[in-house]
Amino acid sequence: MTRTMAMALIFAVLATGAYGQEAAERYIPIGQSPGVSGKSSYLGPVRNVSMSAGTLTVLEDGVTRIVKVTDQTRIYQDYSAKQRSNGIGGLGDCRIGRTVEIKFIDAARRSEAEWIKVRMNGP
Amino acid sequence: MDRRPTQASLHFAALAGATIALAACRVPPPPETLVEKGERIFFNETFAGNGRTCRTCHRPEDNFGLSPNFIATLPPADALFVAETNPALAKNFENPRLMREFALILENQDGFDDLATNFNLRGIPHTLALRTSVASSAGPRTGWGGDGAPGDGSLRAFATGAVIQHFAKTLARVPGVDFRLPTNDELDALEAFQFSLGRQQDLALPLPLVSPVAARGQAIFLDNTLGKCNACHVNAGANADPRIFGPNAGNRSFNTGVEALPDQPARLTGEPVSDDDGFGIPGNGEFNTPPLVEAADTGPFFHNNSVATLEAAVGFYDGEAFNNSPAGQLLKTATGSGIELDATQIAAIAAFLRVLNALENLREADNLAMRSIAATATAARGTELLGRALEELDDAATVLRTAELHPQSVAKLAGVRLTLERARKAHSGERTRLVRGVLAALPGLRGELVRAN
Repeated sequence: MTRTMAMALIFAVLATGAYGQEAAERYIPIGQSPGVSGKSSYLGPVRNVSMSAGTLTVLEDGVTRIVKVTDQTRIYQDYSAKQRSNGIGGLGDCRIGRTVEIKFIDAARRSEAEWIKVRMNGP
Repeated sequence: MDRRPTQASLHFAALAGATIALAACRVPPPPETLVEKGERIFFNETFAGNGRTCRTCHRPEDNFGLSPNFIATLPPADALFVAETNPALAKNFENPRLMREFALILENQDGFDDLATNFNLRGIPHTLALRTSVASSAGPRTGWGGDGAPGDGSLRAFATGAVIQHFAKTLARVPGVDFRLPTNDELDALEAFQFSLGRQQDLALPLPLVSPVAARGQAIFLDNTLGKCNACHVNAGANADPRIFGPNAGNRSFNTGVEALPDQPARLTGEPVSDDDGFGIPGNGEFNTPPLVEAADTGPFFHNNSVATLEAAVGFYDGEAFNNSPAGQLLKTATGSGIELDATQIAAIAAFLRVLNALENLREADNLAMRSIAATATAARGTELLGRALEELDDAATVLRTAELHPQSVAKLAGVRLTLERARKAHSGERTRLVRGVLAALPGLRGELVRAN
């Protein structure tokens, strides 16, 4: 039992990471990410963009949200409606009025984006 | 014109009437269950892609995985070989040589931008006992990296990522053109089917094993000062010991140093093989823990199929690659030493795992045989289920015979197999009688491997 407790103390340092296969997400059209779309993501237009602050502003359920885009946030260009291959984009693709889907790192706090999909055939 | 009925026409009318009456009496088939729907999709649905199905790589005849020996039996036109038959997939979709020689499948877990250099080659994990092996305190863990599913990372979402990676007609991977994505209903059904496969719960070790070698292997396995296997494979499953890793630890990922193994078979070919960084982008070098009960008949082993035999897989933990790895170093710090095993001890642990595998084969054979005589099983379905039960018996015999374990039981298994084979070819009543005979014999076979409590 002592040995087991010693092992427990040592292995307690092992961190548990996030999960979710990011690479394939690129090819999943806006609104179709299984277990995310329609449940915990934001889907709607971009209200404002601040390139200098690295933020997007969206209006969700009447609440204005400023969403942080970090170096770790992946931004995908969604061309699926045009039947073209989806690409990797940047914050510059998130123009005012374009439809985006945002998966948040913390679905409850909804302040930092894990990934953003931008519909590229929109206005 | 004489319109009186002839004898022949009267006979035809009688036959037709009887047919209509029979049709009227026929009981409609029961509605398809979610699991049955999932099985149908898993086995048959191509998602408008390159012809592959889930079954292409997860063969029920090969324990829902895929081994080089099984690949060698497939015809050239099999959808597994689309990279050899579809010019649009000739480059950067698979490595046909490594697929055929080592059952390695190309994956782009770290992104699809640089297909020529940014890829990994991984073995195909079986889909057995997923009910016991996906959940963790950090969320679901799927695939070798633990992050195999897009979306919410669940087993339900896994099929979506698999279609994108493996089913595409071209490398542009345009949804609606190169494939269609599974619907929510299909994802529900696929998840239900996959969770239905194999064991539904973990064992409770130790078992009163009959073989002294397997029993010694079990003791070493459970000994946290010797084998130390149970810390990460509690009860020979895929989950970490909750006494060490905390309650609900579930499935955990570790960097055990497999990538550092020298002389890996795929690398010896000279084919391009990149370093696999495991979980995350960029990866942290960790891979998730597979269940061991099903190990003996599901080789090759580790995420890159780097060793072909169970004994070599156990022996890995006695080597420098493991003991110098982050996981090995942690184990050394926690227990005061690395893992040091001699050949007899390695063989004993493997013998223990072989007996566990054979017991699981017998359990599943029993389950399949029972289902074959259930009221809802049609003759064709019954034949299919008995075919799978036969494969389980064959696997049980093979995993024991390969290590000279329980030779008398292996001989008896051959007799039971013969009866089951006759049952598979028999019709209705005779089939049921023969299957019941097999079902009566299986507990005795089990009793030769593990004593009744």
